[in-house]
Amino acid sequence: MNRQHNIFITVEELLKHIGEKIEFEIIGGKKGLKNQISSYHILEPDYLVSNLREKPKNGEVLLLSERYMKIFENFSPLKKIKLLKKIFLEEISCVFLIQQNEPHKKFISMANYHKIPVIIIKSPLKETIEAISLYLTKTLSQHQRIHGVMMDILGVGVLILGDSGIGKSENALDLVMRGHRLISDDIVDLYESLNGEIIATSPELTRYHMEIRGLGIINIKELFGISATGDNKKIQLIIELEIWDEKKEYDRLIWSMKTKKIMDKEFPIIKIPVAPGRNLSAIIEVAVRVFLLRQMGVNPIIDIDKRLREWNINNGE
Amino acid sequence: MIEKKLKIINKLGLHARASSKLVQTANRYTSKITIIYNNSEVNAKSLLGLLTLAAAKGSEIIIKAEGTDEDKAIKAIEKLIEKKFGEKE
Repeated sequence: MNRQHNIFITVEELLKHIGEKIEFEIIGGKKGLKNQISSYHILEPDYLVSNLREKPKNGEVLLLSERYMKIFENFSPLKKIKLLKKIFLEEISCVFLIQQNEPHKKFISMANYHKIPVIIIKSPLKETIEAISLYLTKTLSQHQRIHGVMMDILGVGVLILGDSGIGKSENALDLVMRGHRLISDDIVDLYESLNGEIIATSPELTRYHMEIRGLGIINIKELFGISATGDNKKIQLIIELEIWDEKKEYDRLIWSMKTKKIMDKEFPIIKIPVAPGRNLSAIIEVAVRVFLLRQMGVNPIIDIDKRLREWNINNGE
Repeated sequence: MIEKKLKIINKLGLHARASSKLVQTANRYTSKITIIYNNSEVNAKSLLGLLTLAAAKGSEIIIKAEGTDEDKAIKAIEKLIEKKFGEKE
């Protein structure tokens, strides 16, 4: 396991990456396109109107929604200038405006003067925030690369771990054939999202690919279609495959779920002993169903135990 | 555990065929073998892992081996890289 950490990206790079999904136009401050973005936190304008919020940190991106710009339009000229001075601070790397019309002239001249790019976004707010924050968190947040398989099973993000040669890839293929989605085989890249979830994705170079001994490298997207793969998924459950050890005593009741720490976050873990003749993909799929039920508070062993205790009370001496 | 820094000297770097030879070699040993390049650490027994490294000619990789046959494993991999994976250039 190792960690990678990008220190910054430029405004230009960000725009290049969101350009596929988002329609935008740079209307001012073009000289600042090389400004550095070093925080994956998107600044909302609260701090502009209240003094309660802390000030922006270096290398942050500011996003002003249409609603906010309407309030701005109604301000008195003096108040407008006061606010603009608060917007174009040197800490800000660029300003996104979500609106259809060009903003006030003063806005653009301030942007040019301070060399802070102002970008008008024509796509909806939600999509814009998603695209920007996805790219920023992907590149700027903490990264970790681990050995394992990431799958979307019944909508649950499942990270499958286990020593090499235990059959993780073969099981993943079996799960794909049962209709589940492959996110990444062998190498899983993890990063932390804005809301603290750990998102797993695949390295670009080997995305949708799998190595199956005897078949070589296969492309799952080409073989099974788009519905058999996914680009990223948050981790919700870890399944660890381990060699069945006759001498080891296994927990037969699994009264409560254990957890495992990945990137400083705890995740429920189910350990499955691997032995010849066990249909692992079925067990993994059922493990996910068990996990879903347990999250809703359903646990068969507790039910049986409860019935057993009642029977004992009623029938014992 | 032993660690060794090695330089890739064949023209095409760690391309697909070279990577597969490295995987084959690593798989002959029971030790846990990992390769570190450019902030990324991958299992030397995993082909896809090696491919993601994209280590070109001239890049310096670190090989780590841990286990009973770690010495032999590192020596074998070192020899493979020195012999340019059996390639001409």
